[in-house]
Formats: sequence, structure tokens, C-alpha cells
Amino acid sequence: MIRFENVVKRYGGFEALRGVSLEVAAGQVVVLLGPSGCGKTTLLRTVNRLIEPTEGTVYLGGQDVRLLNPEELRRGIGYVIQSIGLFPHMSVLENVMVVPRLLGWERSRREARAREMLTRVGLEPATFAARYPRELSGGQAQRVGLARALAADPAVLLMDEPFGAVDPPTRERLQDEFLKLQAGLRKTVLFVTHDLEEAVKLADRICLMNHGQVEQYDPPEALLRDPKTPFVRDFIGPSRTLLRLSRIPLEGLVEPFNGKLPAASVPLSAMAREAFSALLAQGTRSVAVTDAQGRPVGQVRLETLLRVASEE
Amino acid sequence: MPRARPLEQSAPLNRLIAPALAWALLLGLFAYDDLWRRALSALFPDQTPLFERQTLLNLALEHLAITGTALLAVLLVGLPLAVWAARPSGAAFRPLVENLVAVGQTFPPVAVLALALPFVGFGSGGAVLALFLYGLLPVVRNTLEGLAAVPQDVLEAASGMGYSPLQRLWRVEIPLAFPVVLSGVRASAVLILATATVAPLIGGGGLGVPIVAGLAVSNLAFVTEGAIAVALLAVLLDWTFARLEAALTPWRV
Repeated sequence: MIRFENVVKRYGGFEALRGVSLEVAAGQVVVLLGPSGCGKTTLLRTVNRLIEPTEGTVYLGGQDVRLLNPEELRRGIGYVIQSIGLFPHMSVLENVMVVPRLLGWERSRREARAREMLTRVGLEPATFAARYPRELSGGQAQRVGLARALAADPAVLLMDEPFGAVDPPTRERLQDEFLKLQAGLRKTVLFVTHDLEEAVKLADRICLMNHGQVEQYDPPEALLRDPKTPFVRDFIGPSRTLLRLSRIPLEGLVEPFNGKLPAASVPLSAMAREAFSALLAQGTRSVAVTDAQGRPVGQVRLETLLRVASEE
Repeated sequence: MPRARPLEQSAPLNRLIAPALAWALLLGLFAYDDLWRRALSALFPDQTPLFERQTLLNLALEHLAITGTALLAVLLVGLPLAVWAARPSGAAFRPLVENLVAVGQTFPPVAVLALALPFVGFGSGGAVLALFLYGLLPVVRNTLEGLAAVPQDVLEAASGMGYSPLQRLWRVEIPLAFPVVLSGVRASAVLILATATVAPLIGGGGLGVPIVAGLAVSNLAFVTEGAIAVALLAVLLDWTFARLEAALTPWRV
């Protein structure tokens, strides 16, 4: 869906991108990860031509983006930035309707669509449609930003540290909701972050960058199991085993009870990491697993977690 | 937490009912000659209390006409000039524009009047020209400042959404700069209204007429009549703009 071919960006003598080649498959979430200054945002912005590469080509759906009118190109791509950039003089509803309006949709159609998108991101239109951005909390504003990016139903979504400016609990909730939304929408998403945990949680594939180059481009499991370069190993750091557990669903690790019910419990929908931290907190060797109704369905044992964490 | 607001808001024009009533009241007060005559003769018992050549209402309307014409000229020239100087295409001229309008204001209006006399002759025309030059600065400066203060992230989002540069100017930059622009217009308007009292020096009309005449014949009642009327107009004009600001920018705090 998106293909970077030997993309180079120079600012004077400084090379922000040194020949990046990358392919993003349709319907995938690819996270561009790396320390600040590694070129991840620059790379993202070559897709909607807010930055023009010095050399190389970016293809979108097989087409060289340079051949497209930049305004039309951008109207077809959802764009979310960290500072959100909601328009302060427009109501929430008007903000969400911006791109449909630019595309010339009829008023009734774009309003219906905007209300639908607000509902999708968890904002009740009756409550929020008429508000101005200054009347929103950080998390609500970020949701509006996402609704605005999705309003014209673009196939591609560019997200530049979208959850970087909100508090940790809100960030986690937004991440969960984003995953749920993405499961239904199947957009092609290019997502920039410097937060390894966020990348591991959201990505189908992670592109770890350093000094304007791709260090490793792999699914999170592969990146954590098999760091290809010293930089990748350093960047992931000592918590990589724990991070791997956060990619493994509890389902499949559950065993029937033998003997008494463990005191602590975790939901079946959780990841192995949650069970592991429950075990650590309780100091026990097994933890109960409960279904959506809170009924115990089995247990997960410490030995099982240790085994999957060390599996190659 | 802000309260939920119904989508259909009360029309912003509702906020302008009070200023409209106040203007009607003030003009009514100007038409009430008898009141002014009695008040001024109480203050200055030995002098002709009221300027008799023209009614106060007429003088006030003439004053407003001069002010309005000069302000209109300021808007027609100042706004496009400032918007152009704030764009990339006009950026090179920005210092020149800023300096020119600043010079326009450092020149005393009386001197501008005298200098303009040979070109425009006697009458209100010269006064309007002088007031126009004098009032240009606040509008131009505030428009430049307002456009420069539009947040960078909003501009980036606007471009990223697919606004063309011109659409971005009209739908994002100008609306966001508007409150600052409007307070510049407000400053210009009050400045022009107050300064317009010098118009009679080159044959213009307005509330300066009784003031200048009163000074010439040492009649303090005439001076007071004109001065109080100008002060009342200035206060009301200022307040009207404040209400207009609130009515037109409901998205602000």
C-alpha cells in the first residue's frame, strides 16, 4: 500500500533520511520507532508530501505521490499529530467535517458521517458535537482528532505520536480503543512513536530506525526475540522478555484447576504479561483466569509463563 | 467541566440588542436640546450656553460620518495590506509596511491636516485623509500580529487535512486572527473618533466645530458641549466593539 524506495532527505549538510526502503502492506499497522532525531517523523511526512524527499520515491497504492496534487493526496489520507491541531474556532462537529467538506460532500451526508465517527471514537454526539476544542480534556481532544482523520474514510492513516501528550491511563485506554477500532476498520496505518511498549502493543510490524536508517523491520515478536544489530539490542533493553509476554494472549496458556482456586485472577482477554505481574504481586505460583462474566475458567501457572517467555 | 450546550445556539446578534438600544438613547439625548441648554447654563451662567449655528444632533451625526468614512478607508486599505504582508508573497515588504503605518501615526494629525490642505482643499475630505493615515497603524499592526499568532500545530493540521494555501488563509488563519484584528479595529475607531475633533481646522464639520468656535471666542460652554458629546460617543463606540467581539467569536474563553 505504501512503499518507500531509497528515500533520502537532506537539510543542508545534514542527512535526516539516508536511503530508506520500506513496504507497508494494506491493512497493517506499521510503527516507526526510534529515538528522537532518527528520522521517523520525517519519513512519515513524505507520504502526504508535507516533506518532499531529496532523492527516492514514495508510492501510495502503486502511484508515485509526486504525480498527485498535494491537496487531493492529503484529503485521501488521515492525519493525526501529537498536538492534535484541532481548529479552535470550529465546534467538534465542524472539526470532524473538515475533510468531507473539502471533498465537497453534501451537508447532510457529512454531518451524518461526522456524528457516526464521533460515536465510533466513544464521544456521544449529543454531548460533544457543539462543544469547542477548549471545552475538551486532552483525551477527548485526541479522540476528536482521530474522528477527524477517519471522517472521509481514508485507506491510509498517518499518526505522529498521537498519544504522546496524554496521561498514562488515558494513553492506555486510547491505545486499547485504537486497536479495537482498527480491528473493524483495517486501515493501513503508519504510526510514529518513541515508546517501545506502545510500539509492541500496537504494531503488526515495527520499523526501528536510527540516524535516518532502518535498523530492523520485523513483527514485534521477531524484533524482541532476535535483535539484528547492537543498536536494536540496546534500544529494546533488558525488559524484552517482559515485552514479549505482552504480545502473548492468555488463551492457549490456560490449564484446568488442580486443587484449590488461586487467590488472584486475571481476565481471559488479557495478555500473558498481566498474569505474570499478578503472580509477582501475589507471590504465588498460579493465577486464576476468569471469563467476561467473571467466572473462573482455569488457571495459568508460573512454569507455563517461564516456558513461553524463553521459547525461541 | 464545561456544561453541555445545545447545538442550536441563541443567535449571536442577540448580544447586539443592548448596544443598538444604547445608540438610540444617546442620539435621543443629543436631540434633547433643552436639557443641554439648561445644564450648560447652570455650569456657565454668563455665557451663551448652547452652540446655535447647528444642532448637537447634526454635529454628532456629521462627526460619526467623518469617523465612519475614515474607518472604512482604513479597513479597505489596511486589512488587505496587512494580510498581503503576512503572506509568504508579501513577506519581503512587511518591514516597509510596518514602518510606513508607524510613520503615519507619529505624524501629528494637525500637521497632516496642514500638509494635506493644498491637495484636497478645505472641507471634510482633508480631515478624512488625515484620520485615515492616523488610524491605519492599529489595524495593520494587529492584523499582522493576529496572523502571526495562529498556532503552528493548527497550521500543520490544516495543511495535512488538505486545505490549499488560500483555503487555509480564509477558513483557518483569518478566523483565528479575527479577535486580534477586531481589537485593532476597535482601537482605530476610537482613535479616529477622538481625533476627528480637529477637522474644523481645515473646514471640516463634526463635534470639533463648537470646540474650535468656543476656544476662539472664549466660550467654555461650547467647548464643554462638544467635548462631552465626543467622550460619550467614544465610550459607547468602544463598548459596542467589545460586544461585537464577544458576539462574533463564541469559541473563545
